[in-house]
Amino acid sequence: MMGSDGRNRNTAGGSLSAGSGSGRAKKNKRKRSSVWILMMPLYAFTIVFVLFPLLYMGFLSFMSRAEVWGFVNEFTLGNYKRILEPLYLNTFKDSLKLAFISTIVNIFIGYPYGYFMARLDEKWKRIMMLLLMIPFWTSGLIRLNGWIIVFRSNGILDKLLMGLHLTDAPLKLLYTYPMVVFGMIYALMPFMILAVYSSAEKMDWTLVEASRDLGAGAAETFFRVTLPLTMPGLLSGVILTFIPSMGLFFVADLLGGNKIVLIGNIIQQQLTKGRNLPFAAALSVVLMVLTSLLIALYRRIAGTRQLEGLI
Amino acid sequence: MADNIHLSLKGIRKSFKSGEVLKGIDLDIAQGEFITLLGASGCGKTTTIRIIAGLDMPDEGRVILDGADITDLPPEKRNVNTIFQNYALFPHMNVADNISYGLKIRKVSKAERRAKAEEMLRLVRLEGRGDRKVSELSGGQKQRVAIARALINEPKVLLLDEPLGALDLKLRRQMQLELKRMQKQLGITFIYITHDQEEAINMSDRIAVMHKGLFEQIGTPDEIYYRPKTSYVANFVGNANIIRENGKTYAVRSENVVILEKEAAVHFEGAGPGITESAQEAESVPETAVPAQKLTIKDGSEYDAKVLEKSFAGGQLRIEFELKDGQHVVASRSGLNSVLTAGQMTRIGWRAEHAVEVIDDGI
Ligand SMILES: Nc1ncnc2c1ncn2[C@@H]1O[C@H](COP(=O)(O)OP(=O)(O)OP(=O)(O)O)[C@@H](O)[C@H]1O
Ligand SMILES: [Mg+2]
Repeated sequence: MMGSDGRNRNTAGGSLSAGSGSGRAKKNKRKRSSVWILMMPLYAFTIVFVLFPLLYMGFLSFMSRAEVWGFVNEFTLGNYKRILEPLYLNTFKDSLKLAFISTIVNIFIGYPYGYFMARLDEKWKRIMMLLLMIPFWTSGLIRLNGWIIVFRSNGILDKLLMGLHLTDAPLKLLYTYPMVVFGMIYALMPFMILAVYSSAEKMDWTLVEASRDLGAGAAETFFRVTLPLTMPGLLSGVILTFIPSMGLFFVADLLGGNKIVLIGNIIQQQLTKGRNLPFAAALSVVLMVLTSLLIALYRRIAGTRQLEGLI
Repeated sequence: MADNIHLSLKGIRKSFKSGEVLKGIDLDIAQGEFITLLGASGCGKTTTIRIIAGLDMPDEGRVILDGADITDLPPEKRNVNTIFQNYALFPHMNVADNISYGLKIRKVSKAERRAKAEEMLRLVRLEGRGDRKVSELSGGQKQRVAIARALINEPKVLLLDEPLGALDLKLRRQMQLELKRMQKQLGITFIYITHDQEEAINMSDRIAVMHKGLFEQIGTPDEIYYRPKTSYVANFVGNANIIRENGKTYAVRSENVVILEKEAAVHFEGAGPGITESAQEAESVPETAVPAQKLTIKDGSEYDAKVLEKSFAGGQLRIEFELKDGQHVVASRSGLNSVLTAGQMTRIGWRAEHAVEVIDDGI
């Protein structure tokens, strides 16, 4: 309360003195420096919590493993060499594959969902948005545990299906690959929907009418007008679902048991059970490089347009 | 007219949640005609052309083009193109790609598309601008691209929804002439929307005056202007005074209102030969020296009137009067000012031929 009061008074005073000062240049200069001051905490935050940890992680990845915990100050490329072992390479491959599959499914469900949501009238838009948001009021972990209750052997789903005599034995869905894919899709779908929605919402509907008017059918109009104009949203949806699905280790943990191991799981295991900080750092660096390449590719495709939904 | 009907609307009705917007409209349009839908905001003009374009479905009624019922055809199957109120140019394509969109859809070869687009760019006077981005164009240029994009398809009918609404007056005048030129050159039927009566009168072969979802009158600009059928048309198109007298309603355009006392030279021409000799003398009298002459109208009506207000608008001086029975009458003349002052009593009148009897629709 006091703090915000004080700040208000400061800015008011600042603009007052600038106003009575002589000339525009002075005013501008004053304005710019005050903007800089306001930005300071943000820069400081970024440096302390983003830049520094990143550099530290990079540094760690070239260090040697310590006996119990931490690291030894000894330069090595061993961590990176180890990633080239088939076990880890395959995990990267599996993770990419899983991310790829769940992203594709996300596109085919999330795009139409987001697109049609943008076409609803205001009231229904609000209702659909609410429905989309409600799951976020509960932690993702708890929701995944809910799915376990549904899908486990003799769980709700099995009982239902067997009760209806549609199946006569438990489906044994839990701890399978499709289950992990399902979990990823479930966890990340809202991001795809919202990203598509935000760009479909901005699209001028008369452009679609104009295309029809000029002789294009509904399908051709979609590919020539609607899709290109909602592409930024779709691409940011892809980024928002593809990248996390390589790192969401708890989804694979909970729904895949220990049968499905993703790169996120390995990093987590190396940190906890393996107590190999430098190797976990090296894995993370590789993962980060991979995702950065993806974002670079995205920027390439999307041109100078903003990363919708990301920023 | 009857034997070359090109497009006709038969009993079109359309309701939205907000209520009935089109209340059964009929319209026959000839090949190559320039017809204008003129009416106040919200009267249903856009809805009418959206139904012709196939972008909205009528609840009742048929749309007939060249004898074929096209009511149920989707927009892409109709040989009709629209210039949208906001132009609706594709932002992800350059000018040339926008213009040749229709050809691309019809799988016309690239070379032919380019040649046609060049031709269209020439027609709308945008030569060499084909590779511009749409966002780099001015309002007038966007408008011309929209016209080119529609015309390249050689539609049977071109629908134009207030295409000049966003332009400034000068550009507007210029584009009016250009549109008219293109329409004559190409011989395409134009259905043109505006709520500017001057634009409608300047450009149209016929005007359909629309009011609350119905056509009040359809006719040539002359008919609409000089022989309005209803008080709404008289008021909307001619800015006429609506005078109610002995159970009848008359429309008198403001330039035909003659001031008979205290203001000599007013409306001399408008008054014409119906005014007595003394007016001839009055002509040479400078305005400042007001003669106490009185004019009389041979065949017409005269009223005692009180001056309410004077204002200068649209190049004309407008003087508003109040008659004894409370009706207001506006007289207009060229010039900046008048010797009459507010509150003054005078006499006004008009010749019988200038009072057109109209159907009263309460306006
Ligand atoms: N899609 C729609 N849903 C609900 N109401 C609509 C819709 N389209 C038009 N209307 C209503 O129909 C009436 C006529 O609209 P229309 O757009 O045809 O008017 P207009 O004559 O073109 O007006 P303007 O000169 O302002 O463009 C308006 O009252 C409008 O609110
Ligand atoms: Mg309109």
